[in-house]
Amino acid sequence: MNERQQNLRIGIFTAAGLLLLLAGLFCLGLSDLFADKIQLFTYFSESVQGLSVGSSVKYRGVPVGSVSKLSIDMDSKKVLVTMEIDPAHFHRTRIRTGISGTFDNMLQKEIKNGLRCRLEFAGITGMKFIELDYFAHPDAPINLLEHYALVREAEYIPSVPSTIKDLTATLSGALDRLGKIRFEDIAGELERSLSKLSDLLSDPAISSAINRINEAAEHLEAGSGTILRVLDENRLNRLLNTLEKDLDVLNNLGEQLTRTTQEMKLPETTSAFRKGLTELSEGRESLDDTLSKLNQTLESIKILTDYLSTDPSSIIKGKKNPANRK
Amino acid sequence: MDSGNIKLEVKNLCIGYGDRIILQNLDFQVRKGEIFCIMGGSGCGKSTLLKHIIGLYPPKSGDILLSGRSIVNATPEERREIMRGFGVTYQGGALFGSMTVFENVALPLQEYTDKSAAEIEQIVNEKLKLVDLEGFGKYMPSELSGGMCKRAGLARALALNPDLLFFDEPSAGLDPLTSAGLDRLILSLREQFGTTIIVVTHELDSVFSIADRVIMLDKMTKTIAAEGTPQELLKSSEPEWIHKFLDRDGLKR
Amino acid sequence: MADSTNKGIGRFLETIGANIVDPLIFLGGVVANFPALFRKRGLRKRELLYYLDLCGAKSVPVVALICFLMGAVLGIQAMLQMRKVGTDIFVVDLVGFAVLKEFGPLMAAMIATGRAASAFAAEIGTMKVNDEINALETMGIPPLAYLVYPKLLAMLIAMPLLTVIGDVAGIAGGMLVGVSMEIPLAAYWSRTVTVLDFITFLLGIGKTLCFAVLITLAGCFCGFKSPPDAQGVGRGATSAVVASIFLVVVADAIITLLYSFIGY
Repeated sequence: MNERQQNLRIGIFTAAGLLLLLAGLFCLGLSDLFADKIQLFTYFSESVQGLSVGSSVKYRGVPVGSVSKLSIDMDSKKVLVTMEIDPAHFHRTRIRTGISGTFDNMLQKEIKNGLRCRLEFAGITGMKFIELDYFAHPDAPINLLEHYALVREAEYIPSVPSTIKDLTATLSGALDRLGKIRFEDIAGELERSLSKLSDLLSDPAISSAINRINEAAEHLEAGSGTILRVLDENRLNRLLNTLEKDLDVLNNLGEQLTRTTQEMKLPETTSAFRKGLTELSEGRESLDDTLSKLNQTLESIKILTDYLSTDPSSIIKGKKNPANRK
Repeated sequence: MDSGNIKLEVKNLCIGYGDRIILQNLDFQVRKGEIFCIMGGSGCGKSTLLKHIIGLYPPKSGDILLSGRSIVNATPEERREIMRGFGVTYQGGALFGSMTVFENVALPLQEYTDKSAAEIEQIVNEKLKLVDLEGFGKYMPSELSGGMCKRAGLARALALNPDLLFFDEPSAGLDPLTSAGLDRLILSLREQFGTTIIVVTHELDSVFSIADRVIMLDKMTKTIAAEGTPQELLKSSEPEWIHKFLDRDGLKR
Repeated sequence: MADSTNKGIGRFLETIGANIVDPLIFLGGVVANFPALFRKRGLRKRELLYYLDLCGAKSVPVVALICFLMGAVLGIQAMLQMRKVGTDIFVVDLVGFAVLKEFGPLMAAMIATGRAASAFAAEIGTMKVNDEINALETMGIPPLAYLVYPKLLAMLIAMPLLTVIGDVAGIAGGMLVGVSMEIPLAAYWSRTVTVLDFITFLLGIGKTLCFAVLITLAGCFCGFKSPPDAQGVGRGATSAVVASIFLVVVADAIITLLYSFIGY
């Protein structure tokens, strides 16, 4: 009886122990050994800091496998990441066919559709995981690698730089370009241009021209009534003679104006501004604004000078009329 | 003396632990079929001598021959074989506490013979009957009295039918009646099987009732003080203390 | 002066003899008797079952309870700290790994030490007092093989099983705390099976095989070495417990170091 009890105890003990052992082994992933895993490879050209053996691989957020090996390809200095994917995570609702056999084909198709892998942060701890998703455009070219012999095509899944890498690359590029802009030169040029502009505006010839224009405008109306009166032959001849002289004077004035404008090196300044504008990316609206205003100013000045140089005579006539009548 | 007739021979034996010598210059022989007693006061080393004779400890010097074979110079395998040729009954019986009496007695048979379970059972029952323990086979040693344990130990020692038996203090801790019963058992064994029996004891009643020859060990000189039949020893009063030892009750047997 | 130095050296050599050389002689004897196992009736089934019962089956309740409480205590302590930084779920990792790697094996070993090592030492010591060892010897049965191997085998079977039970109980303890502190049971469970791997589980169990050998040998050695009297038996049992706890902890440290080389 005693022996029976003892044997019963031993039996229960052994059975429970072995059962728990087996249950434990299977719960803790011994069954994974029997699942046929598919190995995938990828190369990362960036640092894989935070990724370690056992880090998860997720397909659109679903954990489908884990990183099984990390190594470095010394020829390309890229990190070769080997992943193990459990194909049991992929199934089809429409056609119930075994995936594992055709997993390679499916993968090839999905890679053509833009399936790529990318490093992602897993929370705040700095740990990373590999996300599989359609990061690339369908039919985007796949970069074949020199060391391609290492991996089979079917098992290679291209990687795209992580968002963090993209961001840093863009940022540093932008900073680079910003650094190349010669802000001092631009500012100097601007200052010079502006001082020349004020010189031009304070030029006595211009101010007198403007004064005269004003006067001409005032007298134009008053003079228009008398125009008909004075249009007889006698007066016309005299007028023509005077006009000839006046035109000479006017030509001189026009030349003087053109010289002054040329001294301003307007076209060069403008083109310098345009260059600056193209180099400055968005975010420089105030400068742009200023420049366009400046541009407008220069434009109006140009129009004014054009007008003056092409058709000054009527104004002069109008202006000279009162003097002629005296 | 006819060497073919000698069962045990101890030659110039010296025993001890480390630097300490317990007994030295021991020389004696035991003839076949003899009941031989080793006597001496407490602490004189008679139990230690027994353990050397049965090969548990190596002596410092000298030789021990059992049926002409040296147990001192034997290889472990040979020694084990020699040991199988004799039985030892220890003070308390030395039964294995984790086994029943039956299993205790059956153990040497299971270890050394190819007998079937039925044969073993028959032999064990026979031996238990011999020591007057019939029907006690299923008991655990802890359920037996001291005397019964000794007898069960004797049954185990007899299991392989040895022609040499050693007893270590057979009467120790037993009442006189039980002790006398054990003495009768020893005598009947010699009568039935002609077994040579060597007894280590200090119990005078036993010595006088069973011993053919006796050796007396002296604690002071660390050697044999006297040798002979119990009567001879009693008569010769050479060292005063032996006489006193043997006749402490003044019985003048 | 020289004399006392000599005595000091003598004592030192004696200590070395008692603590290093003697155990090695004992170990050598046990190994040398290994072939005896394959003799007829080399290993006694009854003894095996007896020790399996003593060290295994009868130890289950206490091992399970201790491991359960250990897991719970670990869970509470971890939770109190993790809460502060809002990483409650990592309690699962901590409890799981601590139990599988250390507490399961160690607690099983401690209980086995208390039960088995002392029992072995006391048993062998008592056998010595009763001349049973001598009786075995004179029956031509090598005591080392006869007494050590059934215990060793029983311990080798019992310890891993005890550890498995301890592991499960420990994780259950952690789970109870986790659930009572508002980690959903399903989350706790899925985190457990995600972060723990069976290799860690097996390595923890593997450790206990080593412990089983050490505990058995320490217990038997102290039994064989104990003086053949009642006090000696008691002292032998005590020193068996002390020695085997010491050996288990040292072995655990070494094994942990070795495991770290293979990345676990």
